[in-house]
Amino acid sequence: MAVLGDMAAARLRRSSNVVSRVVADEAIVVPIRRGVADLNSIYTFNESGTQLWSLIEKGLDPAELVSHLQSEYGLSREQATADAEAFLKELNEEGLVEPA
Amino acid sequence: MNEATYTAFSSGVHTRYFGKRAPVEVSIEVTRRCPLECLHCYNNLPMSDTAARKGELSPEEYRRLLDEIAAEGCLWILFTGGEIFARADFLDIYAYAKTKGFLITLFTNATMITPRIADFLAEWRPFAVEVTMYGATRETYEALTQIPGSYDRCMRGIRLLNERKLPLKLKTVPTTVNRHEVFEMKRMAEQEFGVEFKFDPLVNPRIDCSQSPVAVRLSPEEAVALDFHDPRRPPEYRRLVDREMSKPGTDHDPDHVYFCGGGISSCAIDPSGQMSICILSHQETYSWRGGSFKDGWENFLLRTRMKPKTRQTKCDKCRIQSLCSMCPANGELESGHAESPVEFLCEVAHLRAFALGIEVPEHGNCECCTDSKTHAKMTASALRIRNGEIDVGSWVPAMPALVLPILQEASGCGAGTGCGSCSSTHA
Repeated sequence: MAVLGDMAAARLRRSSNVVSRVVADEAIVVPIRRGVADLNSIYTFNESGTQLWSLIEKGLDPAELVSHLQSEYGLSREQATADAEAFLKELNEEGLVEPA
Repeated sequence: MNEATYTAFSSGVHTRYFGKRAPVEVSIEVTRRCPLECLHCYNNLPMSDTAARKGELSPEEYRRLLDEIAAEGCLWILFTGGEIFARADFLDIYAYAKTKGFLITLFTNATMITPRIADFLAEWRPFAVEVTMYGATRETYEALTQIPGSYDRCMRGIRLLNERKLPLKLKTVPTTVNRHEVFEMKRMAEQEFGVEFKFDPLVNPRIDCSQSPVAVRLSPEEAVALDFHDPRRPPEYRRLVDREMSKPGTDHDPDHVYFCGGGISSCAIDPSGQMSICILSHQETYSWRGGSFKDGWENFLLRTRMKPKTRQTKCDKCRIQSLCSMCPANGELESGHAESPVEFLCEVAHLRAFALGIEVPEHGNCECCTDSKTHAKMTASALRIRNGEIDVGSWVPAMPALVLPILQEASGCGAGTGCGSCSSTHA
C-alpha cells in the first residue's frame, strides 16, 4: 500500500492521542492529547467505518483489513485494497493511527 | 470516516437526542473550597474547611463516577467549584476524564494556575477554559475577592494559559463593586489577551441561604444599562423576543415546574456526589454514593423533572421569557421556592423589553406591568437607557453598606432528612 509508505507492512493501532466514543448511536473520535487536531473538526464513522475502527483497536496490519473487507462486503481484492488504503490514509493523515 | 465542524457535530448530537432523555451534559462541582472570598459568590467555602474537604469525592470515586457517566452517553463535562485547583488532585481527576473521551470545560478563577498546571493542560487540552475576572485593576479586583495578591495571581494564571494558546474565554459578574470596570475588562480580554469576553449580572443568594451576595447585586436599571452599552446585545434581545412574540402562545410547559434542559439532557453533581437537576438547584438531591449515576438519572431525576406545578404565577403567561433568566433554581435560591418568581429577574426582563420599545402583553398580576408606581419608574429607567443617558463609564464602585445576616452555618445545611429554614430535602 504505497500511500502509507513505511507503515504499509506495519501493524497499526489507534493512536493513544485519541479516544473513541459512541454518542447518540454514532462512533466519534475525540482527541485527548497534543499532537492531534483541535476540536475544530470532529471525526465520525459510518457503519462500516465503525467496524474497521473497532478492528484497529488492538492492532492489525493493512492486509488483515483488506481480508476483512473482502469477506464482510464481498469486495474484490483490488477494491478492498483501494478502500483500505483510502481509509488508513485518512486516519494516518489525521493522526488517528500509529504503529502498533 | 466523516469530518464535521464542531458546530455541525454538536447540532447533530442535539438533534438526534431531541425528544429523548440522555445526560449529554454533566456539571461537576469538585469542591466548594476556594482561595477567594468573593462578596457575590453563592457557594464558596474556605480552603481550610476540613469538613468540606473530607466530604468531597475521592479520586477513586471520581473514576467510578466518570465511568458510569460515560456509559450513559455523556459527552460534555463541566468541572467547576469553588475553585477546581483548590483540589491538589484535580489534574488526576481531569486526566482520567480526558481518557474517557469527554469534551471538558473548566471554570476557574486562575489564581492557582502554575506553569506546571498550564503545561499539563496544554498537553491534555480541554475543550474550553473560562476564567472569571473580578476587576480590571488590582484595587477593584481585590475589593470584590477580599484577598490581597489575588489580582496578580489571576493575571499570571491568565497569561500562563494564554501563552500556551489554550481555548480561553474571560468573563465577569458585574456587581456594585466592579460595575465601573466591566468594559475595561472587556477591552483587556479582547485587545490584550485576544479572547472572547462576556458578562452576566445575575447574582444569587447563597446556597446556605445567606442573602449577603444580594448586597452587591446591581439594580435592574444598572444591569440593563450594561446590556445596552454592549452594541451586540440589544439586537440579539430584539431577535429573541420577536421570535417569541411571533408564536401563538408561550413555550412554557403549563403543567411542570422545570422547563429547561435539566433532567432531560443535563444534570449536576456536587462535591459529595449529590446529583441534582442543575448546578444551582440543591433542594432535591440524590446520593450517588448510595446508588448509581444510572439510577439517579433514570429514576430520581426523571421524577424531579416531571414535578407538577402547584401554583399559577405571573410567569405562566409571560411573553418575554426570552429576555428573562427566571428558572426554578433561581426561585429556590431567592426565596426558597422553585415556583416563586424572582422580582429582580422580572424587573430586568421587563426593563429590557421597555428599553427595546416593546409593549409587554398582559400576563397576570405583574407589578412591572400593572402597578402604576413600579411601571412608571421602569418606564422612566427604560427611557434613560434608550437615550443613552446612563453613563456606565462614570460609575464609581460601591461597597455593600450592610452585610446581610447569614441564616445558615457556612458549611451548609448539613446532611439530614430535612431543613426547616428552606424546606430542603435530600434523597
